[in-house]
Amino acid sequence: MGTLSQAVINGLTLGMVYALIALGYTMVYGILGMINFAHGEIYMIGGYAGATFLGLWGGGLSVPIALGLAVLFSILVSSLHGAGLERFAYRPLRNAPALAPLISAIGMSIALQQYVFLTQGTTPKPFPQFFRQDLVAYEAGIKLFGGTLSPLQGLIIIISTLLMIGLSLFVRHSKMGKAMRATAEDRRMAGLVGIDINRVILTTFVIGSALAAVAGVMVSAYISTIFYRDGYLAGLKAFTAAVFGGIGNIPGAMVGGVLLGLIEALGVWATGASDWKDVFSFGVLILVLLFKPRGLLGEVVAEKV
Amino acid sequence: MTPNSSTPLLQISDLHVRYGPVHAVRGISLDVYQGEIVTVIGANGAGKSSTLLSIAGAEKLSSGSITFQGIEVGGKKSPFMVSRGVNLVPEGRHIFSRLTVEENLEMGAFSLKDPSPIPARKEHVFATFPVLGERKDQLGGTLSGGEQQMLAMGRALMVAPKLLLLDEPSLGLAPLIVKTVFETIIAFRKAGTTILLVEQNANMALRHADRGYLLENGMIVGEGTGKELLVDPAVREAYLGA
Amino acid sequence: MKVFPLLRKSAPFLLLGGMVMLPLILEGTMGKGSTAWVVAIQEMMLFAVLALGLNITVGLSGLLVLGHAAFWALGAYTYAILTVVFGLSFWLALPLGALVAALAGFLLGMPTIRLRGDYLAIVTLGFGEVIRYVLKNFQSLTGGDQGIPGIGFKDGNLQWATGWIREPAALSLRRHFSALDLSGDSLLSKSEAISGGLNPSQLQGIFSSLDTNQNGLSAKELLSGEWGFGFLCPSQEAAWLTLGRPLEMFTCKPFLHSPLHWYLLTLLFLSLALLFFVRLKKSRLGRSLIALREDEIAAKSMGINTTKAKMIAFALSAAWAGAAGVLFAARNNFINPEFFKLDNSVLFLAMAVLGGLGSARGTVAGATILWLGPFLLREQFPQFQEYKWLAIGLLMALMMIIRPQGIFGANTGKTRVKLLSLWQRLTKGRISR
Repeated sequence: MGTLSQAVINGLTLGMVYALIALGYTMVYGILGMINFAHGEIYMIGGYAGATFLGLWGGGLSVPIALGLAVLFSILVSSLHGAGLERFAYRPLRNAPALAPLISAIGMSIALQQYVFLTQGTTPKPFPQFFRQDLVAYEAGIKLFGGTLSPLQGLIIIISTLLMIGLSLFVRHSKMGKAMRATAEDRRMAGLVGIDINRVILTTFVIGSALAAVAGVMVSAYISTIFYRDGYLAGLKAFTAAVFGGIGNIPGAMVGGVLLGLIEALGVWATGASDWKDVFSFGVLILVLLFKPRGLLGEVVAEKV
Repeated sequence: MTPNSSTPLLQISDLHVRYGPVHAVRGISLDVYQGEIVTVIGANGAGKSSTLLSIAGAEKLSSGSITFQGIEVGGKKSPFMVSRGVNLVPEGRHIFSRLTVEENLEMGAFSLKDPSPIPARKEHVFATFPVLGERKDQLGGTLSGGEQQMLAMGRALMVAPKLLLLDEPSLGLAPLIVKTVFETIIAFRKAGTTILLVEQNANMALRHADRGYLLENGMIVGEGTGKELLVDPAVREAYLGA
Repeated sequence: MKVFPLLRKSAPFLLLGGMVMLPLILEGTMGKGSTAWVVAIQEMMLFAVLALGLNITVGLSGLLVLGHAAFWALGAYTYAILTVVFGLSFWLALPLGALVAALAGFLLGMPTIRLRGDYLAIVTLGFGEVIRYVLKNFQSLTGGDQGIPGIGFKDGNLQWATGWIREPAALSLRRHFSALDLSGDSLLSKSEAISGGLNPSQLQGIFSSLDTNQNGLSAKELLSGEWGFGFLCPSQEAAWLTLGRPLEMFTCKPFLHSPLHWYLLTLLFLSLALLFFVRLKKSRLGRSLIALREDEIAAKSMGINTTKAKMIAFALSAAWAGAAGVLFAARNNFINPEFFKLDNSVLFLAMAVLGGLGSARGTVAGATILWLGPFLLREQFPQFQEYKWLAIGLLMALMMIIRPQGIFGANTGKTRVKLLSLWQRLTKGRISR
């Protein structure tokens, strides 16, 4: 089992991805107060879209351009799915009792998974090797304290960081970002001042889906395949990250994601029990709920009394 | 009796609002003319807020019609009504407590397609309520109740509304602040905004209003000028505690 | 007209009677093809118990649980391990399995149940995963991915070591035996048994443990009840004769392990679960649960200890799942972690949702549609199998939008939701009111 610094590098890479996905959970939660169970599937669909794009149209293009276009394509595909989800599965239930949108979300999660399964087949889809071989070459990586940061890992960390900075600036300073914060706080009043609530919520889903799509492409390049079941576990982890940081809280999701990635990698490094990796993150979720249910940066999550 | 014989700015006829089995508003008809302050007074649960909410497009009306500037607007959504110049300051103020004072004002102007008048209107609000200017970078939640009421009204002013609907602006405020709030309302009217005011503080409301309606159990049971109602024995007994 | 209330009152009993007669009717109309149906209906009834248990939390209390299969697994593994290692009897294991599952539910609920409802959903989802990981990785106890084979139905001192035998095999063996002198000492050789359809590895165990005869089994031994083989079960007609003598029904050794045995046992189990659910709903606890589902704050202010009520509901729900697990492990004869995947947790939820959250007959209807529906469609359209989960997922979402109270759901949802017409739901996204 590699060195400590390798574990930190791997954990940080994974943590960045968790953070990107967690943002989608936390933004939707912030604005609608519901867990979008199907968000993991949006991430998975993004991975498929990227790999499919490269397989079909990547041939004649140079690697950076092909990858860039693949990311854009997967953003488009995932956003359409995310927006469709909001429009058809959640919007009709916006004022229903809390359980209804959750059950609808679970149903959609299953349906999306199956629909990918039916159209994409029973075997994991490989990420075209040609486009990733240079990026994952450890020889080309940077040596850091005895570990190696592969170019792709570096890219994942840089892209994720840029996206998170971009999102923070957007939410803080843009008109739509402010409207999102206003809607998250008081949806009814936001409507009364003339904010088009439906547009704000749709935008939230699109942004969350776009971030998940980028994560999906990066991870499928990183681990070389994408499979229709991948979204479920990634979704569970990312949700844990969102709760860890404090659900509904955007910086919280970022911190929670990175910490969760590090905890997992270091847990495996320290115990050598890679089979139990997923149990670590669940253990984190339980411990967080036990001792700090509002998360590291979050607000009260216990039912109002 | 009407101060202006032209067509009313806002005309409501036979408005009904139901929440499931609850029939909150039962056939209200009222008119508001350009430049007036009209108040609707009544006890808790008389249907005042429901009326305002359905005018502002936040509550579905079950039947009846609402016309604004001669155009039927019943059933239109809030963003449409705001863009038409109808703005509601709801009961309890509902400022965005996690947005700064300035951001709250910007949200008030959300529906403006053209952002050019925003800075000037912000300055206008800061001139009207200097305390908001001093605290423009402070989070809305840190303001006092009176300051929040001012922010809520300032937020509504950002779109320069033609008709301002005020729901219980004096609720929970100290008497001195209540006085300021009503002075502001008068100032708004002077600046050309028509005002429909819902109040439990009937004394203050009638004293400042041109006309008033009495609402009971979702129906209008009386109307008159502010002064007439203020001296009406039945009104005095029921709402003024005299 | 006076017949009507009488009919209403006696409807459950008539229905129960009908269900008891059903295998006979099926055999009468379909002949040997009926066994597949008896098996499918038995499975449906078992799943209905699981969905009913889930309905205690999701339907009555409004707590979304996504790891119901984990409690089911705990019951199943409890029985499998106890009976294989310690030879515990089924009847003792039944309450024990329920207890283990309830305990797990209690421990899981303690830290999380006071949190928002949707947190519970995620925590139970994760719990389901963790249980599956433990079952996969704790190989010395659970057999890992291979699972635990040869569990069987152990009743008292006798170990019934076999599971299901496919109908053609059973028939051919029955034919085989009818040619033998059943009262005599003629032997069934290993090869004969294998050609008759018995699993060689099953036989191996049986033959080697028989100290009397290494070369074969005598029909007498088989029938004397020392070994209750599926293929020796009397035909269903014969089993009906034993119904006339109820005491013998469950003591008739060959009868055990026939599809009919499991059918009747599961029917009994489901009837108890239904009775329990209906009584619970009307009880003080049940009404507190419904109250806290509708409005937790109001419930609290009326003096209901909501945390305690939720914990009890959670534990009861887990307990039924655990008991169903015991039954499942005994009938299926073999369990591994694959049976207890999230898919099944979602399936139980879909059953409860489809039929109606909080409704007993709705749950049975949901289980019938979602278990027998695919069973029927599979025969008519073999390719349907692939679309099953897609259909279930879409159905869940659609159901929430069109009819959130389910097919049979009573007026349980918030009034507001029910009053809004489908038209409005589909055409407009309203801002909150």
